[in-house]
Amino acid sequence: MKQTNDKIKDLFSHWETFLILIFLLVNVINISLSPYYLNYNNVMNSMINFMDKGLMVYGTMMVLILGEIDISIASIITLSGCIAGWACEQRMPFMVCILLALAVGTLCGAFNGFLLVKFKELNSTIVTLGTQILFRGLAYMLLEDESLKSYAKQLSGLAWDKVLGLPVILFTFILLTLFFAYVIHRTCFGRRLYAIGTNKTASYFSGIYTDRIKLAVFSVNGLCAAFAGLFLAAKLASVRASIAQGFEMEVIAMAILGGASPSGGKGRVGGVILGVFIIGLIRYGTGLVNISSETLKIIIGCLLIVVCAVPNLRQVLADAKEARRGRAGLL
Amino acid sequence: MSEYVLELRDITKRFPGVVALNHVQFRLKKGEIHALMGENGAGKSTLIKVITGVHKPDEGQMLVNGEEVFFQNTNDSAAKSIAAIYQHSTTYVHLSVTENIFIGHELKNRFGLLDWQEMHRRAKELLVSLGSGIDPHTLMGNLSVAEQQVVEISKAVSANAEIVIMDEPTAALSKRECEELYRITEQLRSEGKSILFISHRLEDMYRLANSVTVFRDASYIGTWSIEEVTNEILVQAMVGREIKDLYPKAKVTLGETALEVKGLSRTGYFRNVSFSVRKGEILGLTGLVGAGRSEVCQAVCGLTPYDSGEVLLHGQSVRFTHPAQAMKKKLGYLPEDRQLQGLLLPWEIYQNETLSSLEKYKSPAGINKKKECEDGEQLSARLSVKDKNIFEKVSALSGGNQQKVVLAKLLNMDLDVLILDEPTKGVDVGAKSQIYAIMSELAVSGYAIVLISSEMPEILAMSDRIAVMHEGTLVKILDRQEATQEKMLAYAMNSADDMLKGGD
Repeated sequence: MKQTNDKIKDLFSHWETFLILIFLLVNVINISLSPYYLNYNNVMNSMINFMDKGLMVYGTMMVLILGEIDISIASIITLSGCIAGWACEQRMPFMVCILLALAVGTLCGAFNGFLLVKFKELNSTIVTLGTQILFRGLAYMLLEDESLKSYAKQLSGLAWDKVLGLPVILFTFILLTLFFAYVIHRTCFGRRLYAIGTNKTASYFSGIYTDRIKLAVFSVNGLCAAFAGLFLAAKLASVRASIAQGFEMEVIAMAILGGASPSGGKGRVGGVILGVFIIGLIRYGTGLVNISSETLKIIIGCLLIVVCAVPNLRQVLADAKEARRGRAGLL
Repeated sequence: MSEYVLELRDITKRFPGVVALNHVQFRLKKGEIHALMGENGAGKSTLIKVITGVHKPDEGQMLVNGEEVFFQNTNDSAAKSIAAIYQHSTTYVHLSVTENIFIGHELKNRFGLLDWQEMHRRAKELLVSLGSGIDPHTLMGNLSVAEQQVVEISKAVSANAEIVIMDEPTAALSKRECEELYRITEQLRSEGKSILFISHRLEDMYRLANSVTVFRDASYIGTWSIEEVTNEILVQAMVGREIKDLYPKAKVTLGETALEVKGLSRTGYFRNVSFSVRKGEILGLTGLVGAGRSEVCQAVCGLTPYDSGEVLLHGQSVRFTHPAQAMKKKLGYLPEDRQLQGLLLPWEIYQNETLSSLEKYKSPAGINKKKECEDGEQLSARLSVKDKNIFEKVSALSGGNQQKVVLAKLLNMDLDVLILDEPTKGVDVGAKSQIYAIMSELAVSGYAIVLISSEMPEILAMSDRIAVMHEGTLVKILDRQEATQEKMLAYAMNSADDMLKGGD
């Protein structure tokens, strides 16, 4: 009996359990708000509206596990997309344009990582705030107010085609999820990520190449952003220097909601998947009942604060309990 | 009014997994210097933190001038005229001496602005009254450790402290600087202040104290007046057992040279350091805090850079720029600060033990957890880590068991040269003797070991040879037979010549 009790307690101490409850709650509210919510085609079509952020979430998650943060990813999408779009206008082969976009994204990420490794006293928020402005600035320099169509048009299959009955973007997300779940939870590399985020100094003393890993993670994060940028360009049917504004915050919100923490060493892929769908479905549901995107921001903001407070709240309750027990012990 | 300015009754303080103070008592009379002694981990530092309000005791009473107090933080203790001067000075190195003295109780002029002129004048006055010629405009960072301590003392005086706590103030001082500190401390006593003086050095105690209290393993052992106390009583009280079985040093026939360091230098840290260790040998490396022992060894292991010199491993010249390279060549380093440098505290025991050797568990399906756990079980059993199981979090273990986990991490790799930096610092006595036994066993099985330690008895008992460092240079390598505590200390303070002469 006691064992089952412990098991239930254990279940409830998991972040994921809590997320599943939120996930169900979001669905219940959405279903009661709109009769169209559960329509299969509607759900599938909604994917294109939030899944592009989901494609970047694992890069961001790894950055967070390391105890860092990268707020330049939205600008990386823009810069890589604009350069590829511009290359396409110069009549470069389409495949070259795509590879160029991915290469630019990786390089931008590597640049962030390089700055952080080279100048150890710099903080990743500040560095990526700088590069965020820098990358978007470069995009504006290249395209000014122009918007380019031919590159994005060639990508349109990414937004509207289906694979095995699933939208391409959902299918891609599933593949990425499997891949990153393996890398993050199964490999030595993944274990080392958590080690660095938990205690960087001890990891270094234990012979972990902390700098190399940081550089690699930021590069992969840049690559993820550029990759997600392909899908965004497909959806928008054009690229310009003003796209993807504010994306980074929503992606980071998904990862943090999913259990990752900017203080490092935390988060699991399972939780982050839920994080993506909770925020995504809120977006879809509010869209159905014509709630404005400003209101949506308020909802997501509140949710994030509540979610971040819950672990603390639990600690506060535990402390209070401990204190009561301590007092009782004294009497 | 009570006879005691400070009285602690039956104080208990627990931390997760350890009892740091176990129903201890302590009484400080007005106008006395009271020495508090005990081994590392005996609970001295925790006691200070309780007195100054950093920690709240779980049980017990504290009285200042006969009146019960409940400190919530250090401001409360300061309000009761208690000041503490720590071993690692807590000064603001970028501020001037005056600013450091008056921080928290700055003087203001009639416009409510800071009155620098008056503060500088008073600072000068204070320093002069303590017999020091330090200029109050100097930046704190430009002063020596000894001078910084004088400033800290002036700060305590300026805050009208009646109870002054000094935590190992002489640990990093030269002999002459110690004399200066003794003089100032005695001056404070003659002014009616009460002083709690913590030190490892018997010398300090005999020179200064009126009475002495000994703690051992978080418990109160006894208080003696200085007239009645002897070395035997103190050592018995501090150690609480016969020393012999604490250090199980086995006889080993030494093999060929495993690690050789030739003329290693790094500007500002160490100069021209040379030593070697043979297979099966334990080389003690000692010196005062800040002598550069850890710095040399960290450079050898690739943790920090060095400017010139050569490192030879098994006769082969190597230069490491990352600890992983050293580990590949079978050279491992056990860091001094196990919580910061050695462990992932929120992680489970076995995951800490396998962190440096993850490659061993690689498989296409990912890390082989089963094998990892098996190895974890084995290591924990071999080092007799006291745990519920290997899935327990390291943060829940006591200091000694945490240290064993760090050691297990090293033993899980294929190494043959080990550098152990203060392996028994803050470790309780039981675990200590187990760590010595493991060291001895490793030496027998052919490991070459460098043992860095400030604890003289440990160095004397465990080492085959003893290298002594002073301010970045290696001044002397002593043989086991010729080494004594006095000689080591003399070389460590680089006053060997005068001391040995004085002894004749």
